[in-house]
Amino acid sequence: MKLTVLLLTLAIAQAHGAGLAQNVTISGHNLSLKQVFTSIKRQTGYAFFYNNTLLEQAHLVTLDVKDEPLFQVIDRCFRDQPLTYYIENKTVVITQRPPADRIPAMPADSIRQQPIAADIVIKGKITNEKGEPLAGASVHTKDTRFGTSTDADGSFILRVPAGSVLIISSVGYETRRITVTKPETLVIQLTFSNRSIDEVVVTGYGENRVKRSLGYAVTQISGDDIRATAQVNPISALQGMVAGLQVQPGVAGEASTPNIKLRGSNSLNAYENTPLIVVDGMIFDNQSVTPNPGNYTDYGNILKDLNPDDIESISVLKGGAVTALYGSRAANGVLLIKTKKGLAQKGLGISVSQDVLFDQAYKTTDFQNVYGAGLYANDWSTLPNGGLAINASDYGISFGPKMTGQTFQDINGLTRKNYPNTRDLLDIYRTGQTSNTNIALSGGNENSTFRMSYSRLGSNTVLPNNSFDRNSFALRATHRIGSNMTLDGNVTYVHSYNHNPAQQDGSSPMYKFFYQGARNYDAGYWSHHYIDSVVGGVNNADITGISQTIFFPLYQDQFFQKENNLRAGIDLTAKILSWLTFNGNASINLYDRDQETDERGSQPGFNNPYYAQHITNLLQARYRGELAGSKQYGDYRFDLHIGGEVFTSGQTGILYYTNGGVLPDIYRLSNSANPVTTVEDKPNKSQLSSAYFQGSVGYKNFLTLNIYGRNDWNSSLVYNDGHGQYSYFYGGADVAFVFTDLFKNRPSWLDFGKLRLSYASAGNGSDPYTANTGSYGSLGTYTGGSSNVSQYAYQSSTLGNQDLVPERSSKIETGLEFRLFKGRLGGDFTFYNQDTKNQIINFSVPSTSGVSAALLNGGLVRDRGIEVMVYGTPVQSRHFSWTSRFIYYYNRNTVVSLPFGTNYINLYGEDGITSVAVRNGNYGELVAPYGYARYNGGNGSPLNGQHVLGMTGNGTQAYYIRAVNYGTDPLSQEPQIGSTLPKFLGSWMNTFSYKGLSLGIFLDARIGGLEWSTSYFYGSQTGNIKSTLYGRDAAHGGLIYTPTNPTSQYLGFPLGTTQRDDGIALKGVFESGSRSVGTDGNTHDVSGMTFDQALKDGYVTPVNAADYYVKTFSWSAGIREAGVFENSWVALRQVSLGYEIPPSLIHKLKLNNLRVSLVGRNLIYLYNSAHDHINPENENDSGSGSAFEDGGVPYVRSYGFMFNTSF
Amino acid sequence: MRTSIHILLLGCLLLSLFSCSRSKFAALNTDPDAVLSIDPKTELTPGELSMVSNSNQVFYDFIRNIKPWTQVYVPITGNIATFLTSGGNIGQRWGIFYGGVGYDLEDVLHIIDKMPAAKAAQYQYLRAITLIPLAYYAFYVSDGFDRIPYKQAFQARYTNPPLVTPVYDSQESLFDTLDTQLKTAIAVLESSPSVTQVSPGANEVFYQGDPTHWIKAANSLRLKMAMRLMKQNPAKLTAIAGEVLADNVGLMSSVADDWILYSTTVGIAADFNPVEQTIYSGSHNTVSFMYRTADPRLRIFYQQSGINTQDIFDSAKAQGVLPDTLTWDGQNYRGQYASPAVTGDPTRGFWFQKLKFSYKGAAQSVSYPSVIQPGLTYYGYNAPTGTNMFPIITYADVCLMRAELKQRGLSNDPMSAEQLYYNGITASITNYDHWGKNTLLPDYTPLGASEVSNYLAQPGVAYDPANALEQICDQEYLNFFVNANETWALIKRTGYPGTTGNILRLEDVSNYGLMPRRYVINAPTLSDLNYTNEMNAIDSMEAEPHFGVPTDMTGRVWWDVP
Repeated sequence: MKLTVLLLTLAIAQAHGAGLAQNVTISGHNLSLKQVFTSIKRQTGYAFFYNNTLLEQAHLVTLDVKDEPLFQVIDRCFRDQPLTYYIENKTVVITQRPPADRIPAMPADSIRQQPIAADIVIKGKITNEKGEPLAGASVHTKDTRFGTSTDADGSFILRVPAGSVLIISSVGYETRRITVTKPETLVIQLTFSNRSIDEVVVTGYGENRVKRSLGYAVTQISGDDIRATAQVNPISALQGMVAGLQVQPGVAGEASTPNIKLRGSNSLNAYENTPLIVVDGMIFDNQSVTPNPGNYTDYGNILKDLNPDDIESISVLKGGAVTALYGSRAANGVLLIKTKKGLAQKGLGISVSQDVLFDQAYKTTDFQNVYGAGLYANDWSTLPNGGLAINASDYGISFGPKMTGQTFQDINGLTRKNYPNTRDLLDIYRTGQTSNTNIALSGGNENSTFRMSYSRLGSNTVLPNNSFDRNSFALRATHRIGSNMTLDGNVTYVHSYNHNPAQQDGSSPMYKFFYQGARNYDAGYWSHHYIDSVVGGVNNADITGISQTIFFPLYQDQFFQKENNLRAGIDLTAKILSWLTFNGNASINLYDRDQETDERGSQPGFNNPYYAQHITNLLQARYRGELAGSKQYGDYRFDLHIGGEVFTSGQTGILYYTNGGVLPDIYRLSNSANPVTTVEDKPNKSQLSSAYFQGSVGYKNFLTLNIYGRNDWNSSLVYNDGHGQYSYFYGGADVAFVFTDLFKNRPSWLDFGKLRLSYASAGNGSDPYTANTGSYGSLGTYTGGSSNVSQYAYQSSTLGNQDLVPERSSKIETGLEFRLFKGRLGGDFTFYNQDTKNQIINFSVPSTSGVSAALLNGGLVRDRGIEVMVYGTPVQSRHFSWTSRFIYYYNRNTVVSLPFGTNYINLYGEDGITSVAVRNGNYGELVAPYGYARYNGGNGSPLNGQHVLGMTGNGTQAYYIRAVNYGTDPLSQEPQIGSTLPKFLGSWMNTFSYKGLSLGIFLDARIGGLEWSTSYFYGSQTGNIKSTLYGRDAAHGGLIYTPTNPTSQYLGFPLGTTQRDDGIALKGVFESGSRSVGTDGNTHDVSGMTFDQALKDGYVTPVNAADYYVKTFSWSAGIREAGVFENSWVALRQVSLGYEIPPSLIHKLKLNNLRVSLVGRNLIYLYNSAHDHINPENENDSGSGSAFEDGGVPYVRSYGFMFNTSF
Repeated sequence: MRTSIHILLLGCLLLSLFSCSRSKFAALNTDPDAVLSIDPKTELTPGELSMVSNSNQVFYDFIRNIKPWTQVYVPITGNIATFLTSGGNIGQRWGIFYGGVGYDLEDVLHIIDKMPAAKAAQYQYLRAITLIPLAYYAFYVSDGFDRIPYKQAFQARYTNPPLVTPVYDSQESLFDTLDTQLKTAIAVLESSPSVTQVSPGANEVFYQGDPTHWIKAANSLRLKMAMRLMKQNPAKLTAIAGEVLADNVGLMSSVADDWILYSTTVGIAADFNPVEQTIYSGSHNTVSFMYRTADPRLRIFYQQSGINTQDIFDSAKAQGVLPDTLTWDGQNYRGQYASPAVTGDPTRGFWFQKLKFSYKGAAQSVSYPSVIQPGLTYYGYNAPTGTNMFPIITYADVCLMRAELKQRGLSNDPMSAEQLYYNGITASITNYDHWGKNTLLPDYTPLGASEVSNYLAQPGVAYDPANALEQICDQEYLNFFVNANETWALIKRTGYPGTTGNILRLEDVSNYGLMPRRYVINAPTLSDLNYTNEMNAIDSMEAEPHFGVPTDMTGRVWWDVP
């Protein structure tokens, strides 16, 4: 806090002197462009980015300018040069001038700094297609007498004669002409020109490369786009933004672990399919980007410790070429994060931003509000005075009496009216609040720059007692030593604190309300009376157990994780020869996690508390050295990088916990009644050493061939006696071909076109110690007997393997990029195929063999897909523009082979239903031995494939038979239900700009793929979910029938012998041997008949609703498949309304810019295929088998405002 | 330029510091916790402890299912209609055996067998001891699952290529295998090897490696297993009973011989808590019988009723929480009705509701039936100085088994059935008194001097030749209060206590289904490598006359003949 004050003070003190110099003074004869750039950089803070070979083509210039606008000077320098430039974030990027430069260069000497005569004042702001300000764009009248250029925020003010035609241009963009007749404020959006494919993207080792020369797909998202989502976790913010990238934020609040998959899953290990995250050269691998393997308390991984405010850009590198650059760890692609740097400028640049967001839990899955606790209509217990009371033995199931306001005694002993509690569950949640404050200072001079920032984020989510706090400090500095060497160093420290993240399964309130809470359960009462007020501890009078499993832990237990993350790196670039550069880089990532559990004793007197702490300490370091050479021979250009890299990783950790507690409410080891248990984590040391090269040959800037090669030496493949195949080489090549450059007479509508082709392969090792599976380890001391003794057993129940070889993956990709109609329409199509084989996996074997798994090399997984991005500007007028971007992504993930000739490998599962990889089938297919049996009536039976029905022993009630009890072979006993993977993903982003206002609307969709919902399944069993109203009475579609047996066959409650209206007809065919008592009282053989037919013939009676639901959806006899449904949705992901305060006002306030915006996120689902409005994005697991909902959380929407300014 | 070259050289030097030699990588990739060879006794300990330490088994198998099925426990709010058909997460013993008991104990045998002959000779007692708990647990698993892999099980680590598809043994052949295994163990332990034997000491948690105790335990286990053959092969039962009675060391002969684990650490997991989620009462009929016969174990098993004095009774009645028609009968212990039908009986609603009233100015919220004593089996209630007990086979069990065999005429026991019966009851009461004390039950009252003799004289308890078999079985039922599997097996084997006896009857709950008699046998999944052997086993079991549908828990294992 003190620091905040200090920074603010500094900021105010410096505000007067701030402001970026826009004019320059240079004079000299035959200056090299480099000399000019150096001078400009010193005066303005603008950096120059160029390739030396390019500059060698330039001729010298003679200048004599005094206090002239920067961009005029630059323009002047580039006159008649074979080069041109464009500006990106205060960086002037020099590129080859296209053969026919269609951007008219202005006769700079004819432009006056001040107009001589003027009638009107035009103010304006110039932005690119994304609405980002364009600095340095030129605005001048047609006759070039009056002109200016935009400042860093894209704003300009110009006085011109009325009726002037303004020409607005910026290198890389289409020039626009606007006639002005009266004073006004314009917002002008420029679209990329055909040349703008010289867009620079961050690739490989953080280097900038011109995108036109890349032979693989890359998408770059700007830091501003990330921040606009107001997400805590910058990776979660990428949801829907990139074709090929599937991001599903976790359920446990903002800080939770997102499920991230780039181009599907390659590994048969469901938790090793996360792309590699690289931050300024620091590698975040699966030891810090840890998965959430379903139903654990999810504190989130290191990604929540990345501060979005410090991010300059995120590049999503999908292609195989990245694999060659980053090695095997990048088999799943790379998310390359580049942080912000300072700029050379006069004084300090200060920027401040403040976001405030509110979260609202606005809806739960649908409950029914008609029937209360019990099994049947008058299922009451009778009080001694004759009054009604809950029948406690039939509690937690809502097929009981209708809730019509009867007076009854509840389970808490209180007497009240019988009404449903329609809002009880939502009332448990609160309005969440998130506040994020960021202050950044930057500055520098010709030789040094720095940027320091401090961010504080405080968030209280909708779940009571859940909060997340993050303090982030970052410093980045660059320094030039002499003329040939640059140092770039950065240090980031983040402290975060995550308290009581939402839990799943039996600890999820929604799950529990469906599974154990009857619809007249008095949640309002129990949420305040969950403690036994007399003796302390949990109130056992709550026979649902909800007090025990939900309220008590929610309000009394503390689960939290504190994290300290220190990231530091230094990068040195030294020019050795004019064409040869050395680059050295060292970085470390120190990631400390301290997880603590304080569980209050739920026994009388709050006895027996539990205390545990798990402290882990990960240190990863990376050292890299590289020589890069670059030469141009005629039309050919050669680049070569040769380097070596060492990556080391080690982790220490300790877990200790109490065993019983002496006193209540003391959470220290000293309070343990029995000896404390201590577990020391493995040090997990590993080292990966690599040598690599990357070369490219370019021809006339339109054809580029890139080749890559890498050899890894991986410690994880070395056995303790030193043997092992631990060295492996892999490589790849790609071609980028800008075919439009070949056309002599290109059609006017075709601006740009490029074809890509890429092939790459990669090898991979395993986790530390995996190779050496099969030794003994200590189980600790047994202290329960008369004397203490040590215990040993096998460390792992996995059978080791002494002959492991590296995994192999190979990828092929081809793509087309184009731009049409002067940039109004553009697109990028990609097709890819990637195969991963020799996977090192723990293959499950029957535990009866004495091991539960065997370590194997095997399996081949294939991903094949299409990525489409289309963008354009459908409407473009003077004050208004509409830009739109559409993304479509299709991936087919299949399994070509599995080891041992087995059919399925489990990815994730719950009892009786599992997501598996099927040999010769889908990766992520749901299979269920407890699915519906499929009728097999012999060849050609038209009924084949229908659900199979059985009959109770006395022939009075039909039920669905489970596949496992009917099937005759493995495939029919555990049938495949369908794929959990989406058919495709899509998103549609729209930006509408009108003057200073911009409105963004972002739709995001997933179509296809199955989901299993625990809350739906068990909510159906208990009759709490809304769809179970169906069939309960005539009004809800119940069939009229007379029971053939007076007692219900499954629940055993009285059905009576008179007519009822709660009948449900099943759909299916009776298995052979089915005998049913008909309405005539006789027994009929209904084998092979459909239920419909048998019902029509009077051979069967409908099933009473309570028995139907409870049995079909029960744990022990139910059909899991009945809890499966398609998970398709279209979400209104984000709506934002931004307003840029007009420059005139800004300047009065002595600010550089001021932007306020309103944002709403996760607002509504326009379409949701899930039953009963189950939240479709509530999957409980971050692995590749994820398709399971275990209660989840209510729907939460966020809205708030964001404010940022700089001065 | 010169600086640049220096930097370059320095960079190269730095990189060269990170060698990647095989030896360095091998050292990096070796788990520092790994131990390449161990003393076999240290692996005996986890093998033995696994037999009783699994809290899931206690929670799901015992507390939630087997005890309610056998009417040892009844939820305080009464049984629900589906209590005989639920069975969630049961059958934990399978995983405990293949991932724990057998997993460890088989390796103990393997380590000894791999030793040089001279060293192995010192470990023959330890090897023999190891065979006994291994045999017990295989028998125990088969008791719930029928056919299991045993002869070919656990071999993956010791075979090349690894044997990962063990065939299943029939229960009949398994019983033969295990009986032979126990005879072998007894023979070794009764021999006097020339080489001094290494004792496992405290690493052997039951008897600290004492061979005599283990011989008695092995003989008692042979008898217990043979009892299961009572209907399938009574001649074999008689033969085995004869062998163990004639053995030099023989069966357990006092409570000091009990095969039991006393532990201050096993049993602390919350799942051991029998009233953690559902509060359990004793069953109505059992508590009434024990109350009527002044059983000293009553106060060890149960807490008093919430309405345990006339004063409280009158106060509650006056406040309308008890029916006007109810009169005080002086009974301070009551069990809950096991039949779900009673929960809907309007005249008995108060049995199932929390009774809330005021007594002497203090708010009361109590139950009419007696809650069980949770501290008897759960450390949480006897912390921090209590000791939990986990009986496998006790002297009391042995006496009652012998009494039953003698009574049935299936043995030539030199002692009379009556004497064995009284010895068994006395040993059982002695044990429970001892356990009540060690588990620090609240209001523990030591066993009075004449309590046992008083009890033995009670009608229904006093040996009555006309009802002797039922009496013996009912006493086995009471004795097995903390041993759910044996309670279950007793009812399956003898039908006692049943719904029609003369001494202690269980309630008739047949409207709600039959008592489950084994676990669900699920067909293997396709991802299971041993699919063929597992399906063959299922097919063979289905061919057994009483096995029924594999997934139907009311089917029977091979020995369980109607």
